[in-house]
Amino acid sequence: MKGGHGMHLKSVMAWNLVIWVAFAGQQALAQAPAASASAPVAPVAAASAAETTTPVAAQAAAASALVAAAAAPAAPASAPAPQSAPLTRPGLVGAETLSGADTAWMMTSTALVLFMTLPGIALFYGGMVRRKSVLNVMACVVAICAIVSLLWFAVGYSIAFTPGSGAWGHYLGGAERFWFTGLDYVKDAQKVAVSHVAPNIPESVYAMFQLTFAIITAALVVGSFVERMRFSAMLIFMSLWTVAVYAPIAHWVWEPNGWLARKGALDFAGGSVVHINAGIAGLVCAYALGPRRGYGREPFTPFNLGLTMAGAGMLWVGWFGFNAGSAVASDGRAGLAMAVTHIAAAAGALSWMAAEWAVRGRPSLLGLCSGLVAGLVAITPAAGFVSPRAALVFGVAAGLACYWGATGLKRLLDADDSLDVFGVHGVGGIVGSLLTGVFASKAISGVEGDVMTQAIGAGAVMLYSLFMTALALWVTSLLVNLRVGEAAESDGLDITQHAERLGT
Amino acid sequence: MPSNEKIAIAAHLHVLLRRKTGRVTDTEWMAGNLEYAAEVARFARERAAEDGHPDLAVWADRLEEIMAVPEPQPRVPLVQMVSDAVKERGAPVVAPPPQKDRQSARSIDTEEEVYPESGFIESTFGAIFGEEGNRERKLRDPNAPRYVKGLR
Repeated sequence: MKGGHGMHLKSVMAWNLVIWVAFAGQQALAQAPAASASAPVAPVAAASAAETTTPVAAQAAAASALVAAAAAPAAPASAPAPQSAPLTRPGLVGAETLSGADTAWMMTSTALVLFMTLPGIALFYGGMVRRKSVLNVMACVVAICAIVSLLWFAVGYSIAFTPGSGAWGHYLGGAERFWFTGLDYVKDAQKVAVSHVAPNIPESVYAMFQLTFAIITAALVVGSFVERMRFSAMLIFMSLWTVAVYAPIAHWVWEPNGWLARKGALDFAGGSVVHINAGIAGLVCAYALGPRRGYGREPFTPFNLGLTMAGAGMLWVGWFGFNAGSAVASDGRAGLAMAVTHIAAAAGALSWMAAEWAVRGRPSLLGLCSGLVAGLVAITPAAGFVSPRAALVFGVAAGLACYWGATGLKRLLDADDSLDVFGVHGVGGIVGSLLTGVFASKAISGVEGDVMTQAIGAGAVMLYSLFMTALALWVTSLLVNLRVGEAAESDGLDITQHAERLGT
Repeated sequence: MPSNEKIAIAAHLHVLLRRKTGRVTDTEWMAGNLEYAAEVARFARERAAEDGHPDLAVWADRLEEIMAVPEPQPRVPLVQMVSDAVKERGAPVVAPPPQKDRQSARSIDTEEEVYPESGFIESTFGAIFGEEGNRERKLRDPNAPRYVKGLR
């Protein structure tokens, strides 16, 4: 029976690969003339301009203005003036409207956020599992990076960051950017595609920046099912999850036509889209897979907390790209986002340390690392909206709340959320999202925060993530067993899933 | 956490067993759990007699000797001391903390056993506000084995 399953899965995957390659080739051929000739450029731009007169586009323009005020500040004084009519969907603009400084910063931020996952998350998580499954965790992170990249290129970016059409557009983007169609740069005509969300940088850079967020969100979920999930099941599940859970939520919150963006829910860099989403998904995975063998009866000694510390350090550094990069500009707001990020991380580390010291009697390195991540998570939705003093509150509150989340709440929930994805990212994201409603300053961002709106945003993300993650796991379980066998788990996933072992 | 001396002896026996018999043991667990240590010592003596490795028996004796030495007094966290002091002032009669059963395999002082419900607020500050009447709080041994049911 299992052999049949395996064969079936292999054939499905092989056919998928063939279809993908064929379709990608077709799209590449279709794009080639557009890239080589300047003539097709004009109609696209004209269509973009014409659509701004429709009611839907007018609504989107209003929302776009709101989000532009909230998330994408005005271009710096040195940048050329943008086109007169604001874009409501991705389109081609003159290359002279781009800002070189913003583009350079966004490319740097993209590299920083990717660095958070590879090797940041791989080391952070790899150090916390038992020796026999360290390589499996690292392999999961690398594989997720690869598979999410292709999915984002194929469908994810378009679903998340195009306005869609009609009422559906509030919940899901359109298909116009599938396979990165239209992310053109036409040298002769000096035209370049930009996103309406980030009109001062090339759309290719913006799509790559957002890709790194999709990667790290999926990689975060790994922490909940380590040491027991079958590698093939992980690949299928994370693929489904990225397309069906991450991309739609990113659309709701970050695309100006998304229903939470229109409602005024604030999420500067991903408190709900990334952290609450990953936290809830992790909790669902932990329940669905069940605890590791021996959980609660024997100690699961971490392989090397030195690796975890190195990973945490990379996360702290990379988070500057994550938060300050979400300003989509190299301006004063990005600088402020960087400052509040650092302050919250420091406060989070110290407050977790203090809580642990008080309760347990000793401050641990893992506690310090977890605390700094908690502070970073909490400030994420607020980074472009709050002052440095408020960041101190975010950090302290997150350190305490996440310590409870990873200890007391964990016992209450009674799930083997192995590396505390929900305890740190879920709880930290919720705390940060709600505090954003309290502390968002109109002087900094031009928008007012509202706790109730923030709660609705966080609640909606939690509910959707919960149901859709469960659905994705169920679909995955139809194709392949979610868990490895008892013997394989006992021997460790490094040898049983990858035929590899750590050296002595 | 077991003393350094216990860990050193357990580690030595671990290496000897692995080298001479191929048996792999858990050093940390051996130094922290009486039953496991006794079983390892029994196995080491058995193989010493059967295979002619007298040093195995010597180290098995050493392990049993050191395991018989009682644990040092556990450190009491600062907040625990403060909360105990407040409790003493409020209520003259304070029940002694429950004795740990070091002879049993179930003597692992896990987080769950120490804080059976949600943990943080009531376990740390609840006592200060007089909530200990309904929920007797056990003293946590900071030297108890880590990483059982959670990393943090």
